[in-house]
Amino acid sequence: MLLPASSAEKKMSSKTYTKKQWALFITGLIAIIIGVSILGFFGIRKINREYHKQKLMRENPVLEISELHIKAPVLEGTDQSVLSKSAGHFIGTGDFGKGNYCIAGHSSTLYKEYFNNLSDAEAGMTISLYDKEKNHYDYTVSECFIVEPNETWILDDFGDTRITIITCTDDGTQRFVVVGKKK
Amino acid sequence: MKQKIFGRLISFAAAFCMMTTASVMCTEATAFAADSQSTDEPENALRFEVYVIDEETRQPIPNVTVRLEKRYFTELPSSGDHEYTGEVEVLETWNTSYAEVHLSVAYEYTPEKPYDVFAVAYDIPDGYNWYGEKTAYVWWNCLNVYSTLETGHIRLQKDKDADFPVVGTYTKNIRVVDVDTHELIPNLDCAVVNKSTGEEIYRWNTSQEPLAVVSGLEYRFEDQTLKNTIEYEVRFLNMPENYIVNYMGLKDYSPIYYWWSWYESGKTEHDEPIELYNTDPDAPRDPMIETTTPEETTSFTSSTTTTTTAATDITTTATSESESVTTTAATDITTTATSGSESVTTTTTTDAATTISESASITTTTAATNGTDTDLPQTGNNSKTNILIAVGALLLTAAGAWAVASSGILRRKEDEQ
Repeated sequence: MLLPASSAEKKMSSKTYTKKQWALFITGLIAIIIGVSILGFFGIRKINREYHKQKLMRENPVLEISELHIKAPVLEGTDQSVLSKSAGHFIGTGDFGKGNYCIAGHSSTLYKEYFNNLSDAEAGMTISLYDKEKNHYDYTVSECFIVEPNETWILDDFGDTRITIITCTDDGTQRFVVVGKKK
Repeated sequence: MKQKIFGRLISFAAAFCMMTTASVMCTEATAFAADSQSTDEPENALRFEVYVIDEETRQPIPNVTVRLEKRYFTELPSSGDHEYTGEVEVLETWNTSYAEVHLSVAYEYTPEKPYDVFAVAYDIPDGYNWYGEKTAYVWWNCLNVYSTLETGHIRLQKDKDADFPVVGTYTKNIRVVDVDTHELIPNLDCAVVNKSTGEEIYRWNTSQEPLAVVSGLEYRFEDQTLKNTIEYEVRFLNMPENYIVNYMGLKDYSPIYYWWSWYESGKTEHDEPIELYNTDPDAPRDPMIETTTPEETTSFTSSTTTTTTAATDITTTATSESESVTTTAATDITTTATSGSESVTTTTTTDAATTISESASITTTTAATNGTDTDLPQTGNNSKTNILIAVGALLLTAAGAWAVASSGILRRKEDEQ
């Protein structure tokens, strides 16, 4: 006849775990906690970035190429602190609907960055630029080409009204340039 | 035995992963915190980039001493405008012979003691003037700084031997709008009046004529300068109680200015938007302005030790010249109050136009001054660090789950239950 174990017997049986078992159990538990924390960190960061992206797009100029599903906020400056969260306007170049308005932004083969699809740009596509008041200026893509990083002549004023969008080529050694002329 | 060895390997791998991922995570977390912070306050970096250029050729003018100054003010609760206290602090001084463009260091903004920043060229060289004056400046209202870097051009004009029309007429396209909503102020009776003679030139009602085209306004420049001696103003005949003229705090009138511009090839027709400010606290506000009110502005400090040292040195210099600085400031403040709108309007409207042609020469120097490089920025983000960390975290979680399961503790407890 099988009798139910008393609480004293249960307590006795727990003492039978070896140190090795406890070590494995605690190590595993810590590993799970750390692993989940890291994954959670990435998740929260992604949500945070998406939130800030939406916020930036509400409060700042926005560049849109609807045919390539590109829509990016544009902040002033092109240092990495700006480019890590948005596209950046080269200070001193052009203005909305005037001169050569130059923009740089990240692209990537690994991550979802603003200008990933820019390499698919073709002549004739429409680039829309919205200022802070959401007035929009339309440009038509006229040419796409690749330059070396030191070819800053593309930032010059050519006497017309254009937009110049710059991002890296896949290997990051050169710069892919899309030029749009004002409609 | 096999299971024992495998278990040890797993434990070792787990420990290794924990160490590496934890250290990388710390780095990432720091970067993330910095990233989040910078995302929240891009508009707070009070740094200024100043050029002194020839308005006609747009080339830098050497040997001009320029000072970057804080001019403190107090806000007038009645009008919403602000009044300078006369307290001036010189932040930086430089000479344009040494650099075509000057990039200031970042300065802390203290909402409790607000200030505007002026870049003032006190010693304009012979052969140049600034709208007839020998002192030129650009300024920034620090309540409305939107970006991390503000650029200002001090455009000096060459003294001319009257090779421009000294006397002529011009046209203003006047529209009276709310500065926050950008909408027309309806049913407002306005009149353009000659300030000296009191002669009424034109009268209109904003509801009937949203854009008033006022032509035939005369100008007469003094010899050798571009100072216009004929002044006009727009008078508001039935100004609503809750409105004042933005920036100037005027109630009943807004001055009209005309200036000759070689850059615009002597264009004689200009848009003249007059912005009114609604003093009603419940009035709708432009969200861009609201987000940069001093209450919401997070303070920040100079970024490097070098910067702090530089600022201290400059302050010392200012102290030795404090008397003359204060006197000059008081004069300039008066000028700002009476004819300040010209400089404000001029800067705002012509900046947009002139920036374009200046881009070729200025862009390159900007990049160099920023202290990074003159190349196009690196815009490829193919770093595998994040993916490797995520994969490592997944493996760590899986290994942890296996270790917990294989320890037998959970299973034993289930059996006991």
